[in-house]
Amino acid sequence: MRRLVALLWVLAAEPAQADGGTLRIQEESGPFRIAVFSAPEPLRVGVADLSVLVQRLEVGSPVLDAEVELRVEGPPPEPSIELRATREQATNGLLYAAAVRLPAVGTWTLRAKVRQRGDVAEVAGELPVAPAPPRFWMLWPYLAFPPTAVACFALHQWLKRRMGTHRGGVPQPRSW
Amino acid sequence: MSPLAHAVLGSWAVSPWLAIFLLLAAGIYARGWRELHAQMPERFPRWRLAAFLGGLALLFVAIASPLDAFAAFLLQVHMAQHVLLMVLVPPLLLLGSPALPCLRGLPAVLAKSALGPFLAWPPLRRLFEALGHPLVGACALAAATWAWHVPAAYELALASPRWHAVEHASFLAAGLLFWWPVIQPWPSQARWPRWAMVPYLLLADLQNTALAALLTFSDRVLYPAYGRMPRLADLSALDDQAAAGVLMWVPMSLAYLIPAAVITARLLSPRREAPRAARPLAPRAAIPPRRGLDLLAVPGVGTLLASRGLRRALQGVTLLIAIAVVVDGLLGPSMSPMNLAGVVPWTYWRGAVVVGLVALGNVFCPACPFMLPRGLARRLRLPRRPWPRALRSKWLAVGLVAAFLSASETFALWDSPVFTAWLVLGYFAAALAVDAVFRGASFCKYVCPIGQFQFVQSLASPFEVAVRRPEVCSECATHDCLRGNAQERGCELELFLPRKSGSLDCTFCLDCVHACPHTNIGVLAGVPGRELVGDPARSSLGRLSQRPDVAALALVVVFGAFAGAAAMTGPVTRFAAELAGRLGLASTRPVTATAFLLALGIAPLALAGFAGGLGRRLARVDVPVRTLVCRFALALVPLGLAMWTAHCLFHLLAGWRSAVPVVQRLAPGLLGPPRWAMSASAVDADRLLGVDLLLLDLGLLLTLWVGWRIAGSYGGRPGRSIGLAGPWALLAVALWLTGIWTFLQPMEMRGLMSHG
Repeated sequence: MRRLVALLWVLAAEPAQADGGTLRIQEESGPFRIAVFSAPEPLRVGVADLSVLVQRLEVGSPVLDAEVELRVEGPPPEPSIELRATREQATNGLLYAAAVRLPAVGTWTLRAKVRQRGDVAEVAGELPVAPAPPRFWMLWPYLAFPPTAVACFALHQWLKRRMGTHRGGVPQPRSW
Repeated sequence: MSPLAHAVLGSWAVSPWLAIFLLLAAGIYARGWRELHAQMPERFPRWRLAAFLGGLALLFVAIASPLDAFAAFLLQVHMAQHVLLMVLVPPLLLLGSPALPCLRGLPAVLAKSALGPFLAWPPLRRLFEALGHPLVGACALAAATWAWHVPAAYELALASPRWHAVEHASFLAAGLLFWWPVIQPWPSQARWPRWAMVPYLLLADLQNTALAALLTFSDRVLYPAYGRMPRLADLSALDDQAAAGVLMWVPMSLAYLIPAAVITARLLSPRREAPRAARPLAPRAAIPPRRGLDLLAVPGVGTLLASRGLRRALQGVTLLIAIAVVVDGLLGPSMSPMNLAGVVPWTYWRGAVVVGLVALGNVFCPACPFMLPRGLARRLRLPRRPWPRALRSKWLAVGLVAAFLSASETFALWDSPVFTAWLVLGYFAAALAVDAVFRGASFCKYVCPIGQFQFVQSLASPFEVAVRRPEVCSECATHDCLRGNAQERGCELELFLPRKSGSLDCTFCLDCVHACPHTNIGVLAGVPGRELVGDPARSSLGRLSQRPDVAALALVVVFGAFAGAAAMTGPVTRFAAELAGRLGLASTRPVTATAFLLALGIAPLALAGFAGGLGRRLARVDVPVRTLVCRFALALVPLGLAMWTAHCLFHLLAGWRSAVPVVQRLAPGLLGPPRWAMSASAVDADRLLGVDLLLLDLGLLLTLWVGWRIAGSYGGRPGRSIGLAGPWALLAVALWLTGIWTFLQPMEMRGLMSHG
C-alpha cells in the first residue's frame, strides 16, 4: 500500500509549467496583495516554476505593469538565485512567472519584490525542496513504450495467424 | 479592449502535443469523410464533418483556452470546462459518425494490416459492444460526475496537473460512453428501443440536478483550495461555488432535456415512418484509387522541388557558406563557438541533414556544393575514364566514413576551425580530382563519405524517388531515366528507376524526373524502412544480401552514431583521460583512435557475425552467415538514424542561436556588437531528453519490425523467425540501452560557450 501511495505521489508530481500551481505565499504588503505559486508539487531538485499574482489592495484588480523580482535563498552553502518574473513567461496572462533550477534539497526562502509606479512591496515564504525523484520514474514512459509496442505487435501477429488458420487466409476488414 | 481583458483572453496554453493530436485527428477524419461523402452522400453529409471538427475545436477550447488557465482560480470556470467536456464535445464528435471516416482516413496499410486483426478480434468486439450499452453509459456518467466531485478527488485534481488531465480524460470518456446510445453513430446497432432514451436522458438530468443543487445551496465552501485562492473577481468563494452549481444545473440540464424532447417529438411524429434508411442511398460513386503521397504532385511543392533554378540557387548558397566557413576557419578566431567553421558545419548543417533524412529523405545531396566541381569538369570535357572496376564497391567508402568519424573525435575537428576549413577544402579538391578524371558521378557513388552516410540513412526515410505507375515503364523502350536524352541527362549514379528499390545511391537530384518523357517519376511516400525488408535485385546494386560492403557501411554508420554520442559524455572523456594518464600518454588521441577502431571495426564485425551465426543455429536455416549478416545489418539502420537524429538535434536545438554572434562579429557595423550570450546553450538539456528518448524508441521499434519482416521472409513458423531475428533484436536493444545511458550522462556542450 505504501508503495502504491508512493507511486501515485510520483505520478502526481508534474513537470514544471508556468501556470500557477501550489499557493506558497499570500500576503498584503504595501498597496498590494501578493500571491506566489510554485510548480510542480511537491517541489523537487530540478527546474521549478514560480509565478506571482499582484493585486491592488484597494480595488482588488490584478496589476499588469509591475516589475517582479524573485530571490531564492538556499540552505547554506547554496548561493542565492535572483531572477525576474515576467508575464511573457506565464501561461496565465495575469501572472508573472519565472523558471528556476533548484540545485539542492532543503528549505529555501523565496522573496518576491514588486515595484509599480513608485510603490514597492516585498513578501517572503518558504519553499520546501525534496530530493529529485529517481530518474527511472521520469523516464518510465520512454522505457515502457518499446516493450508495450512489442507486446501489441506480438498480439497482432498472433491474431493474424489465428484468424488466418481459422479462415484459411489473412482476414481483410470489411471494405467500406 | 482593456489590458485586463487582453491578458485574460490571451491566456492560451497550446501544448504542441495537443495541437498535433487534434490536427492529426481532424486530418484523418476529413480524409475519410471526403471519400465516404463521395460514396454515400446521404450517410455522410457535410454537417457530419462540421460536427466532428466542431467537437475537436471545442475540445481545444476546453483544454487550451483561458478556461484552463483560470480553472484553478474560479470554480465556475472549471465547471464550464467540465460542461464542454461532458455534454458538448462528446455528442458533436459522435454526430460525425467517426468510426468509418477515421478508419477510412488512415493509410490503408495501417487500417487493414495493423488495425484489422484487432478490430476483428471477438473479445475486443464484445468489449466495444458492451461499452456501447446504455447501462454502461449511464453508470460511467454518474460515476465520473460524482466521484470527481468528492472534495478529496477534486482537491487532488487541483493540486496536480497530471491528475487534472486524468479528470478531464475521464469526463470526456464518460461523456462519449453516455452519448453513444443517444446519438447511435452509424453503423452501430441500438441496444435499447429508441423510446428508452427519453428516461435515460431524464435520469442523467436527475443525478446532475442533485449534484448541482448541492453545490448551489451549500452554505460552506466544498473545495478548500478555492477558499484559499486569491479572489480574481469581486466574488466570494461561496458565491463562486453557487455560480458553478447554476452552470451545472441549467446548461447541462438543457443538454439532456433538449435531446429528450427531440426524441419524444420524433417518436410521436407520424413522419417517423419514413426513416432515412428507407430512402435509397445515392448510387455508389467510384472511390478514387488510393495512392501514396507524391510530393511532386503537390501543387507548388512539386514545382519547387523539381525546379532546377532552386537547386542551383541552393548549391550557390551552400557554396557561399562553404567559402565563408573556409575563410573564417583559416583566418578567424581559433575558438570554435566564435568561428563560422565551428558553428555552421557542426551545429547547423549536421542537424539540418538528419532532420531532412527523418522528415523527407536525402535532402542535402541536391544542394551539395561539391557537385559544382563536377559541373566545371564536365564543361571542360575532362572526365573520360570509367571508375576502376576494382573500386566499384562501397569498401572505399566504408574506410572513408570510418576514418572521418574517428578523425572527427580523435582530432576534435568540431573544436578546430582550422581543421574544419582544411577538411572542406580537401573535400572540394577530392571532388574535383575524382570528377575531373572519371565519368559520371563517381565521387558521389564511390567516394563521398557524406553521401554514403546519407545513402544508408535514407533507406529509413519516408520519401523515395520512385516510379509512379510501373505499367508505364514496362512499355518504355528508351529508358531515358537511366540513359538520358538529347535534352536531359539520365541518372549519373546508374540507377534504372523501374528496378530502383530504396534510396541507396540516390542523390535526389531529380535528373530522372526531368528525363522521363512519360512524367512517370515522383517523390513518393511510404512506410519508413520498407525497402530494408525485401531483397530484390536492385538497379546498379544487385541483391543487398550479396553486398557485404553495403552491410559494413551500414554497421559503421550505426555504430558510429552511438560511439560519436558516447564520446561527448563526461564519464567517457574522463575514462579516456585516466587511461591515457595511466599509459603515460601525453594526449588522449591514441586512446580515442583505438576506441573508435574497436567501436567501428572490431565490435560491429564481432557482434554482427555472432548474431548472424547464433540466429542461423537457433533457426536452423540453410543460409550462409554472410548472407544473414548482410540482410540483418540493414535492419539496424533505423536505430542508427534515430541516434544520429537525437544527437544532432540536441546540438541544433541547444545551439540554434549560436550563429548570431558569429555573424555579428563578421559584420559589426551592420548588426551591432556580438552578443556572445547567445552562444550559450539555448535550452535545458533535460528538456530535450524526452525527445531524444522518444526518437530512440521509435528507431528501436522500426529496427525490430524490419528485423522481424526479414526473418519472416525465410518462411517457416514464428519460432524460426524468433530464432533468426532474436540475436539481432538483442543487439538492437543493447544499442538502445547504450543510447539511453549516453543521453543520461552529463554532456560536453560542443560548439557552445559554457556561459555568455
